[in-house]
Amino acid sequence: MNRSSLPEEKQNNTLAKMISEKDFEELHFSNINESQRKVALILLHNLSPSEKQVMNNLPYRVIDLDDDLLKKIVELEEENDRLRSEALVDSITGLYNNRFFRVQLETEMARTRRTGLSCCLLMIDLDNFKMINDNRGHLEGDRFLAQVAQTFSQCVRAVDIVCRYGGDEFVAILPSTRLFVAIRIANRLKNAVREIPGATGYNVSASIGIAEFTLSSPWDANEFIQAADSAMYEAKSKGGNQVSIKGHTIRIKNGFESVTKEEKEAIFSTHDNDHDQGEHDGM
Amino acid sequence: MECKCPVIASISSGKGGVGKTFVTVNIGAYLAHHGKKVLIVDCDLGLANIDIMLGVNPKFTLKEVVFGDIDIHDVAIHTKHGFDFVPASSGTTEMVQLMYEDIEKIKDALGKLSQRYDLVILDTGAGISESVLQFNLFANRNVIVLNRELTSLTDAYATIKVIYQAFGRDSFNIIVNTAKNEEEARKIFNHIDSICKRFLGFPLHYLGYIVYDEAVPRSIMRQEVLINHQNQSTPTINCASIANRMLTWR
Repeated sequence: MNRSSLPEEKQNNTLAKMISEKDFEELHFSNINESQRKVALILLHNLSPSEKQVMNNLPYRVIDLDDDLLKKIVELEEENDRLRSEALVDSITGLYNNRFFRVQLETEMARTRRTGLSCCLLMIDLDNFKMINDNRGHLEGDRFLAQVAQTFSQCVRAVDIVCRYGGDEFVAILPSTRLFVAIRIANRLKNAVREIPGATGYNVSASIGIAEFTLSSPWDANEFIQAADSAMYEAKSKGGNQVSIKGHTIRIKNGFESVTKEEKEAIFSTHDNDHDQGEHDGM
Repeated sequence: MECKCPVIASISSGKGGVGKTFVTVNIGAYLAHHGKKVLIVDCDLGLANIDIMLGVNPKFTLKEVVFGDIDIHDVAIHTKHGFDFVPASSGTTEMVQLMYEDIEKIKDALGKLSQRYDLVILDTGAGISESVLQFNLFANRNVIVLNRELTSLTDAYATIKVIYQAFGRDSFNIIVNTAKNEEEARKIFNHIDSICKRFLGFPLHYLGYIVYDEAVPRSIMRQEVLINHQNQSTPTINCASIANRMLTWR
């Protein structure tokens, strides 16, 4: 306990000042240790402006980092954070959340690498969902999302994992599934959205992107998600309410364009066929 | 070729009109003539045309396999040239818009049918559509037909590059069509081969060449197969030597 020593007093002073001034940046970059930063953040979030003002004017000792109660607060706050992030279920839809999705995706990709059976990922984005939110309020919007979640859960197989990705985006992991089957499931989901009561008035539909992860796919989890995501955007850009596949089709387009200028020049250069070009036209 | 798993060869070109179908039919006829069980599949689903070249009028096509309940065994017809033939639909636009699952259906059906044959030749359409790629993936040997035209060379290279990028295939067999002579064919092959080595990092395989001959367009006009029609012509000999090389495939 050396609370009278100058450096600590100075630190505590800085802390109190920061809390009153809400200087987040200062909080992150100033030379304070981790537990001090946590205390400051907790106070920052929990004190009223006048309390902060009072605190700033109090002697520094009021924030005693060795205080057992403060330590307990820090611990509790950390525990709360952990619980919040480790919850696996999305509270609005009752589906698995993004965090669980990422863990599960890694698991399924590992399974593909072990068994050789490909898995598919559906990235689902609702078209015109904003209309419901804007016209009927966010509460109704949330209610609609819950209906969508329920519909999706009914449309997939028992082994499939539907998660809320965030906002009006959903994902479905289809384990040990070939693209062939994934397309059928995606179409089923797409059609089912149109049947949800309340969807029709606002023309809500689904744009679904599919990506298939095979033994030869060079993707990591992020790239796998990106692949499904870009297919979803393709479906959306074509007007929504459709299914699009990331895979060979898209690579074809890139491939076609990717006959580079350099390659083309090489093809055109040394091959001296100009003189007999067109000699056998029509063949 | 007593092995139960047949050689399935895709024949593509990138650019249309370089003689894919001519090559396919004549190789098929030659091998059938020499006692091999050969199946030719017209995979040019949008603009099917082998049936026209063969002068046949099929009852069922791949279209009925995809959209109807017709078994692929009922679609295959025996031709007078000795090989069996699975026609695609002709003159309809429906088949152009094949979904991935439709192509899968065709591939599944072909997989079953193939067991009866020594060699299956898939005549894919021009271009690098999804179906062309899928049939190339389905085949265990990939053949590219090209000629001396720069557009043909560029499209052939694009096809090779895309199949390599999409599926990691790095073994392609080149047929140089309508060459003036073997020397020119070799020169054209060496050129495209050097470009593949330089940009993609693998060499190509030279499968053979077919010399330009007036008899070829004539045979096509008459809906005749050259091999049966004019046995001693140079293109006939060329096709035969290509076919013989294909026989060594496993």
